[in-house]
Amino acid sequence: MIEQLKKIQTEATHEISAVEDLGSLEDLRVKYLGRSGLLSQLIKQIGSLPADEKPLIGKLTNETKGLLEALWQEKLAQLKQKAAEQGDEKIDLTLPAYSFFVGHKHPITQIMEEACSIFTRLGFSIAEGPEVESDYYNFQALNFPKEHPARDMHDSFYISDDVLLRTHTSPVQVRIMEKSRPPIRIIAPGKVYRRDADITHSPMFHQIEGLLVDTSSSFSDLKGILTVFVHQMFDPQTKLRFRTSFFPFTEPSAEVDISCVMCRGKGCRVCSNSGWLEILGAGMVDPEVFKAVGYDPEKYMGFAFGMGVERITMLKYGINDIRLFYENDLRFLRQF
Amino acid sequence: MKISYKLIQQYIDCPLSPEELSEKLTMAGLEVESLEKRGPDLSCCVIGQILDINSHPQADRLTVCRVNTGAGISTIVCGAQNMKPGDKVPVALPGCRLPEGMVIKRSKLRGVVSEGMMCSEKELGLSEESSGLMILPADAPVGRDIVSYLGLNDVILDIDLTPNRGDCLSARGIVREIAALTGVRPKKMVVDFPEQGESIENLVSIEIRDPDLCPRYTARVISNLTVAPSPRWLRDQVESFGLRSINNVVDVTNLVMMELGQPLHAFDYDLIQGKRIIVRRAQDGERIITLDNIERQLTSRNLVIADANRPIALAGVMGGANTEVSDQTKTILLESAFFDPVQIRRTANEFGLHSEASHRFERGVDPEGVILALNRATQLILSVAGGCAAKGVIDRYPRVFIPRVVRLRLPMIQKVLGIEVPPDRVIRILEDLECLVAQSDEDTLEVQVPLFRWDIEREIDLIEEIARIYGYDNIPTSLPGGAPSPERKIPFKDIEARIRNILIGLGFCEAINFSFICGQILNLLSSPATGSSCLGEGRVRLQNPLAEDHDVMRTSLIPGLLENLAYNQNRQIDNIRLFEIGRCFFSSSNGSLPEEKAMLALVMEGTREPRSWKGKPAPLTFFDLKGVVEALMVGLKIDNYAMTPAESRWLGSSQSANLMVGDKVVGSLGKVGQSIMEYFDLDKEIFALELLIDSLVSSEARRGIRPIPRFPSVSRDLALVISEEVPYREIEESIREMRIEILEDIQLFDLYRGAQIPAGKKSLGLSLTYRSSTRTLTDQEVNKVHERVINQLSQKFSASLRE
Repeated sequence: MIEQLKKIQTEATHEISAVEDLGSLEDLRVKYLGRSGLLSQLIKQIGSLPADEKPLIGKLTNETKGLLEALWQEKLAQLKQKAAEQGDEKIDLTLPAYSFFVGHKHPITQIMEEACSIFTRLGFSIAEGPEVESDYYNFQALNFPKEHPARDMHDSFYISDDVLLRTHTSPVQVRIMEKSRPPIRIIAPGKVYRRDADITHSPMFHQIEGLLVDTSSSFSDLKGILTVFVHQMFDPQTKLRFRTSFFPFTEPSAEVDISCVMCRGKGCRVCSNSGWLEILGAGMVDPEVFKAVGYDPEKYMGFAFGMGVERITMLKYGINDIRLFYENDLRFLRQF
Repeated sequence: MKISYKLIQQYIDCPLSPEELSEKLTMAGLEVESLEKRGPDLSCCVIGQILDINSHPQADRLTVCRVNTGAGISTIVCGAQNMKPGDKVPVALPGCRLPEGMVIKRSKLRGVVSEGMMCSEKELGLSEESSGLMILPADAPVGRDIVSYLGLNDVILDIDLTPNRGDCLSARGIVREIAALTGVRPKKMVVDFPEQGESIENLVSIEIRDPDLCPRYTARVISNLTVAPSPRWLRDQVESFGLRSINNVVDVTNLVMMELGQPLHAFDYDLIQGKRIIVRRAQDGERIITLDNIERQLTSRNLVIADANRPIALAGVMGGANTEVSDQTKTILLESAFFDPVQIRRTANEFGLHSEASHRFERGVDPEGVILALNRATQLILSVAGGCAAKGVIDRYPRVFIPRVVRLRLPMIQKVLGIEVPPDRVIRILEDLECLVAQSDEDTLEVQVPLFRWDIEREIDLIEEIARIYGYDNIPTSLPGGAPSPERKIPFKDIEARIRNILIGLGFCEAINFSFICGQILNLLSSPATGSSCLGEGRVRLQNPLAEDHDVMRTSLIPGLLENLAYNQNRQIDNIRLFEIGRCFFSSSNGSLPEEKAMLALVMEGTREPRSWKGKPAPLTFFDLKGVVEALMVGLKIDNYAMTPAESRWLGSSQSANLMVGDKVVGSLGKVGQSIMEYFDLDKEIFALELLIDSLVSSEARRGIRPIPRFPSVSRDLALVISEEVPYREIEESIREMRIEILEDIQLFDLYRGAQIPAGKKSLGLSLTYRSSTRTLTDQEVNKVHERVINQLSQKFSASLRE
């Protein structure tokens, strides 16, 4: 019996180490370790052995079985590894990819989303209004009386004498204030229209309007909010300059310049050697506007600002022709 | 407004350089757009010293001089007599172009070579007359260029004024600002001239019939003058303001307007009929030929200056040709008046006639400055055109202006600006702006505003003045306190962002097109989703489009995208996938504003995937478009949608379907048909989708998550041969109608027509997935159900099973 066991162990060890493929290895498992394999047959005979031989033979058999199983496992791992290595097809990794079509958001959308997210973090929510507006919301409620020279700043597209394409996003201010009470913090992104077309003017363009109304908010708060915006939109080193300007619906009014993003304020072609770029209009909400929406100007203070999205996008990416935004040339759009 | 830096220096000792000045003005709201260097182009004119003077061998009146020009000794032939050896004079070297246009060359004069020219003041354009060479001081450095030595350079400031600052449309106005910003007082303007002969009251009668429209009208008469081209200094000054020189009289009126901001007009006195001036509304039907030689038909809306019989000027806008000052004019009536701003603006707009005068009148001139301007102009005319001024001034001033007094509460300054400005500083600023300030109590100022500041009416206007002179840069930054307004979420903004993300993942690029398009193209489109409002009467039309093919507000995004597609195709770009999100406009029956609908459209052409070495990619079909819609709906969590064949041909192709959400048509999808392809000059197959975003907003399925299945599924395939007439959807629906609880999914994996299939039939390969959520299904159980499905299909569609 012991002889048999030894023979099986020797032969199996030899055969397992010699085997070269998984199929033959499996055959060997069946032959020696299988349910009706040689070892199992031997084990079945143990029952008929004399009682005093049983323990020893049993022990030896178990040892042999354990040994062969370990051997087999090891060989299996070896062969699997080898098979895996051989199974991998050898390929030229430098061949070009099987590509996917990749889409791109319009650069204007990207900048709008970025600006909106900066202001949302500052507690502003997003508002909207119609693109075709009444003269009342676009002008009168914003303190542009009829026959006022300030209207010359906005060359408008008219639908009828009293309806026009909005020339700015500011009418949203009025609509929001009519609908709700302070405190108000909103921004209103959207399309606006002016009759003007050249390399820096498009008859349709995008603005983002901001409005904050509360019982106390001052020009210094306006400066603070816009400074945070510019530092996040451009970079924290960007300088801001507020200079006096005029808008009928704000007073005091300011144009906001930033230090030139191209030359860092040294003076270049983009900033016409001034070192400054105009990017925003802003100011404290004019009491006339509060009156138009039924707010008490003695009780509430607020500020508003508006910016051209194309302008900011052009500065951020160094784009020098506004018409590129509306040609929708894929060679342009795919760069964003 | 253009103004010369040198001219500014005539009115105020400005301590700032042109650059510093322009910075200061810009910050205070007078934006200097550009600084333009200006000066005579005398680049080859230098200071020379005469070494000796010899007589000319051929000509008695000429001399031959040797001149040291710094760079060498030049021989110069000269006709002047007033110089002596050692004198320093301006020398124009070869290449120099003198102001009158002469270019200096090396040339022979009566046989002697002259290497330049010694110049008089007249030749340098510095004076009208001169009697010989310009002799420079003995310490003038030899060789230095004459322009810098004499300080002939000037800088023109081009100031972009905001519409509220009409008071700055003059040198005086800008000088006032400089005074307030620097604390330097402007120089006094002295006006003095003799009056002679008759009193003006005997020469003309003046009547204002409409004092509301003309609160003040003043005039002088100057006789015996000579209208001629302006002297150089006058021409230069007028041109430095960017105006064209006309003649001495007109130039003076223009110069004084630019100096003082008061427009003036000169009439030829002898052509004024009846020697009467009547300021009145025009009669309907009256006509006038204005100075630009255009005949204008007038109405009672217009204010005119008339003589006894006819209008002779469109008040405040432009003079009439019938009384125009000409070479023959001997006597003029000079007008200086105040007209109602709104009236002038209406008339200027009505006739599209915007003059320097109307520009100022419509922003408001200084009613108290009218006489000063009249006198200043009279003085200048007498000096450049001669003549004599009749005694006295006619001053009709029926509606006297009283300066406003505005109350300023000092604490308001801090409230608005967020910084405390000391009261004495506030008072100084206001006084520098020529306000009269009285303190009524500790916290309150009573501020009397000068009449030329039409823009200061309210407390907030004063606060702005204080802020701008104090300097916006001196106001600190802070962040607003208080609670942010509660987040107002706009559902469709959110959905738009999600749509964008899904589509760029599917390889689409976002386009943005103009909202106005060509009305003609809309005739080719009809959309079940937006309905009949797309048709002609539903359109929103622009009154004043920039271009004829941009005349209608779009009712569809498709035309813009097809145009983009053609644009890209023409540039050899293929596999174009574009989408746009934007509003479309439909005229509404109720309310004055059109209806605006947020829409999504997309177009795609080319292949399913990019070309690669793997093999030829399959061309896009209608079913790829369906796949895009499906991906969108999955991404937007919309369950109850369907794409159903459309009866109408959306883009003119039979491959058109409606997109339904619930039982509403929310969009259309399909192939672009031939007529539209031709319109846009396209030739490849294009698939398009357009839908109303608003309709998707409320359609998102609000459901909890489905549990992950715990038991295995079982699939059974079946192959059906069925009539071509039966649409696939009916087959799927008839299976679903059986309401088999364990049926999880139906998939079409094969569609075949051909050899083994009878004509008029198709073979469908369906794979049905069965699963129970409570147990592992047995084969028998599944077979039983599957058998029922087969029976149902064979009975309902006379389908046969293919083995």
